[in-house]
Amino acid sequence: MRKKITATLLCGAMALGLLSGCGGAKDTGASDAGNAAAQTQEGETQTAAANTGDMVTVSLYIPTLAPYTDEAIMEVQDAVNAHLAENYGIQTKLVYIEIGNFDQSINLAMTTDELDVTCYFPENTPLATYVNNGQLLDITDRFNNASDELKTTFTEAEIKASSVDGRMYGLVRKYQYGGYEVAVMNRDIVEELGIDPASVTDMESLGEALYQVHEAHPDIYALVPQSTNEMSWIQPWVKRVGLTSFAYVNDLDSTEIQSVFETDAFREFCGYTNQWYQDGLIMQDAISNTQEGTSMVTAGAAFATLHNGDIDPLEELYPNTVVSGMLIEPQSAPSDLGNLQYGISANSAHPDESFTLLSALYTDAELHTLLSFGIEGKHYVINEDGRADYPEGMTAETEPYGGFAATAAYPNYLLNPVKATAAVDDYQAAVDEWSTRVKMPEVFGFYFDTSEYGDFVTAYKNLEEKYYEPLRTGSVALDDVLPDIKSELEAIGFYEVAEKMQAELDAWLAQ
Amino acid sequence: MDNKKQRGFFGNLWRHKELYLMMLPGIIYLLINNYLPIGGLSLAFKKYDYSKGILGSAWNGLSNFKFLFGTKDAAMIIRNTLGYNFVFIVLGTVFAVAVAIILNEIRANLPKKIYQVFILIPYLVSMVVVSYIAFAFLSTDNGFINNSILHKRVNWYMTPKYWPFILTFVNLWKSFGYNSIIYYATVIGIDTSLYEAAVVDGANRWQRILHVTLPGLRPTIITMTLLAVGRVFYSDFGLFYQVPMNSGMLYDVTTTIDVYVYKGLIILNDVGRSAAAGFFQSVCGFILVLTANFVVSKVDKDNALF
Amino acid sequence: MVQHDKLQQTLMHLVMILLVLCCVLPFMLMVIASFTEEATLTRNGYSFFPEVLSLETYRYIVRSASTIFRGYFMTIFVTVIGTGCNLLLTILFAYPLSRRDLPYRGFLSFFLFFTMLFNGGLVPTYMMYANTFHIKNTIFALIVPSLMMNAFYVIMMRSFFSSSIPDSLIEAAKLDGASEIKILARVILPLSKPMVVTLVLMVGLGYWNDWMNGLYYVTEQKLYTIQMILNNMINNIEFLTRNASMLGTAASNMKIPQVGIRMGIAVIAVLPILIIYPFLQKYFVKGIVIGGVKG
Repeated sequence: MRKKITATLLCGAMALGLLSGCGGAKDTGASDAGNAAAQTQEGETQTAAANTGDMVTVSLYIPTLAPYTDEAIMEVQDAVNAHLAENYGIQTKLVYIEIGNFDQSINLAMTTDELDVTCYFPENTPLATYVNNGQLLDITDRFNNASDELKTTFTEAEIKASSVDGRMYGLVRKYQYGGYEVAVMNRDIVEELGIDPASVTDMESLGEALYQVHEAHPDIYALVPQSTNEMSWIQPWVKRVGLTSFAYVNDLDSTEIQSVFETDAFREFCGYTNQWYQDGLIMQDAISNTQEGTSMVTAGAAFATLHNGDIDPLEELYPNTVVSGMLIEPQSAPSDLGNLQYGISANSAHPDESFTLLSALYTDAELHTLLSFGIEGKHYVINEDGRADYPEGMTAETEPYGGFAATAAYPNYLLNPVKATAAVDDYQAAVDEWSTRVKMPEVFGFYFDTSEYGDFVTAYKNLEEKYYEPLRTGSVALDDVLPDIKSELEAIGFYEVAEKMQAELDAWLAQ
Repeated sequence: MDNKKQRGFFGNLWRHKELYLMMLPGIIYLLINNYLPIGGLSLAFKKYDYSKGILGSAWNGLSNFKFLFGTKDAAMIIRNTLGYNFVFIVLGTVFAVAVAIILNEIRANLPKKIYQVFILIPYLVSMVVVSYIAFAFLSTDNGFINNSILHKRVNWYMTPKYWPFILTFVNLWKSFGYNSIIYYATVIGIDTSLYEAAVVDGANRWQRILHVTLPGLRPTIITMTLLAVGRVFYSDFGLFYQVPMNSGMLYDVTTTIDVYVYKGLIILNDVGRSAAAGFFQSVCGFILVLTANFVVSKVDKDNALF
Repeated sequence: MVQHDKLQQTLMHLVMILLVLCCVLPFMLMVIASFTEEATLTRNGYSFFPEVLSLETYRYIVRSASTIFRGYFMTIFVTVIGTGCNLLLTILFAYPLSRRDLPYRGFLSFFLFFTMLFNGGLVPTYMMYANTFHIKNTIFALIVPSLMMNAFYVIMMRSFFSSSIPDSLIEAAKLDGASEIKILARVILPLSKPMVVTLVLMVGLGYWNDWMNGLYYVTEQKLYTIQMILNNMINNIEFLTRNASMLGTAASNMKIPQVGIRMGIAVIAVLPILIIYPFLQKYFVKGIVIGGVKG
């Protein structure tokens, strides 16, 4: 009955559309409006032969970290589908979504069966929340029955990072973990004032350089946030614990769970920035800034910004800059593990095919390269050194398929050919080498289930947003607000949660 | 009896079939766009589980509402939402009526038209653009106010005490043109013989305004206020979120129900809670409008909404 | 007395001129910022008289012209078609409602008014449009949801009809044997021009400034409107603020557009409204004058 009513209403709506002169829209709209079969339109079936018609189409949601054109996405989708049809007997529909809209879009899409496989950010919304909401499919059994190739791709800690209560709900992105921290400085000023970049190795020596610059050029910012109001992207001075947003330890060796505001490392960092802020070294607008630090440094409007680095070299990215010595040696935060994952929607109509695609994304180098770099010769080329590069005359701005610039959004970085700009010859080897260099915290791999603490997580997030960046940018002095912060932490029940978590952590460490 | 009534019903429909047929597209649209999804209000009382859908999700009583009222921020959020709306309604009305009267009293025709064109401009742009403009004025280092007027560094985006005034100013700035035009339109619709009579009685300008213009404006003021009262639990998300640049230090004076719900939603994906907030806003609005309308109809029957 | 009056007039003009400046100067600042060289902007701040002018912003916009002009085209297309549909629905609904002899008028009024207060919320609405009607990534997505009819406008239109169209006119036309649709088209609408123009302006503005429908129902760039482009930019910036850490150095490829460019895009998004609007202004006022907003 209800269907009948809906159908009648639909006819009415369509008739209305025609009546009111929506004629121009007919070609795109009418076929979609009534006919579900018409969903496999848009050229998906153009290249693959007739037999692809009865294959299952699985949608794949990816955030855009660089510009893509519709045409390039279609071309890559056709190529990916040809490959999928031949090897797996499935088809895919690539859905790229602007990164700023991504969370909201997948949440909406997960209410229906339009979404099958998707990327998601557990740092943004805890994995436990996705699971608690019934959004992600439990893939434990499928994973256990999968090929050894897939299973050996992941370490135990990685599997844990995508599990809740011992059940797996996704696969983590393969990437190196952690990073180092440097200051990116304007080359002209460094040369003019004779600053030795290598001598800047900690906050103290950075401060000396900043005061020197401020004296010589009072009209430019000595130090600006790395991006918008964030002093630095990664949090090299404190360590977040157990894939939560609220629990921290002071340093690599510490196992005592604290609020970030009460750690010594945070106090020390804010001590510097607050002094600098008061002395006019840091941009006074830091808290409402909407620009990128590096673009101000390159343009000469600022002298330096803090910046994180990993296996790719930084100087390549920013013209007219020099990089300081390492303020923080390569090290990892526990939250670096699994902060971008791929999983399957619980509402997917084709869970088996979805898992086939998901697993292929982590094991099939040809598929992954095609998906992330695009079509060879068109969106990227392999140069005579055997490395991947932009095609002749193209740059990150003009290349139509953004994946080449935005590999970090894809599942398995390590399957791709090495880029021409990379400082290393082999990603796997580089990551292995990096892993020996990078210092892992004592609590790495510990996971805390936050699914019961939804209200607390929200309340804490509001509290942290209120104080965290103002303190890090030095706009506010820690001692002025710490009593308020403590009483607010008390009020939202932080200390009880921390205590519970500490008990679990101690038990985990004892194992 | 029933039969007769039914015949009457269909008879009525048939007699006015042309008129009803005209309304049909609109009825269909409202049914689809507004009434079909209304079952979703049940989500306010459910723990929404994506894999089970709206119907399959389990009931959880009033626990979604706890999120709104059970936290330590509840009082602050409600105070902000209601407080700002109250100030906006009062100041907005006074200001818009004043401008409308001035427009009416100005005799030169061309300037009058020009004024009307320009004061409406802020109403035409989106809040995103307004937030850009606000930043151009308020930025600590680069802002026009600090650089060219005060010549000192006021940290606007970090000082909560300024924001009740800034937000009120931005809201007035954006909406006064539109409201003034509505009131102005009513003023020039007032029967001119009333003014002539007043002049004959020897009334001066102030007396004319007081005894003719303002009473003439009363129905419109009542209607506009009634409509605004229905929305006192809502707030313009762009005004409270984008214009203050979501600056943490300002949360105590910028967090309204809509902002709070949005922030909870992006972290928790909890559909039930935002449904609960929406339900609360709708019901309160409904009750307020009915009550206000009841009061108005007691005092002044002609000017009630229905 | 005359002296006194002149003083009052001057005073009132002064107040209005002050208000007009208050409304216009902020936009001037925005336009000038879009013409200011980026480095000057960060060094000297926002100013009405910048040291160094630059066309770089507009060069950038011309470079990415395909995106922006396509966005423009979509916005105009959606605004025109959407406003047309909305007007049709509104007039067809409002006219019968204004007829005092229509049975069940009270019920229908309430049916309409109820939609102003209650709605099902985003998720149920989304599920219906995406699942049942499959409007995702179609032009319908930008036109149909929420914007195609608004109870407030219907109420405005209805009170215009009932207050300014004499019943005798309708009676006379009926005696001539005219059908209802003919009465509406031949008798009523020609008398309602100011009101119709007012609605065109208000509804058109709604479509022009809308980005919500795009956010929910559109992922393909070919359907991006200019407001979506602007809004996506803001959202991307906000996302980077919140989460850039997880993306590692790769996020360095995500460029936040410079302030000047953002201002420039805002300017071209606002410009058409500012150009078209003054021409419709006189009808706008007249429409409200005759209709009144009283429900």
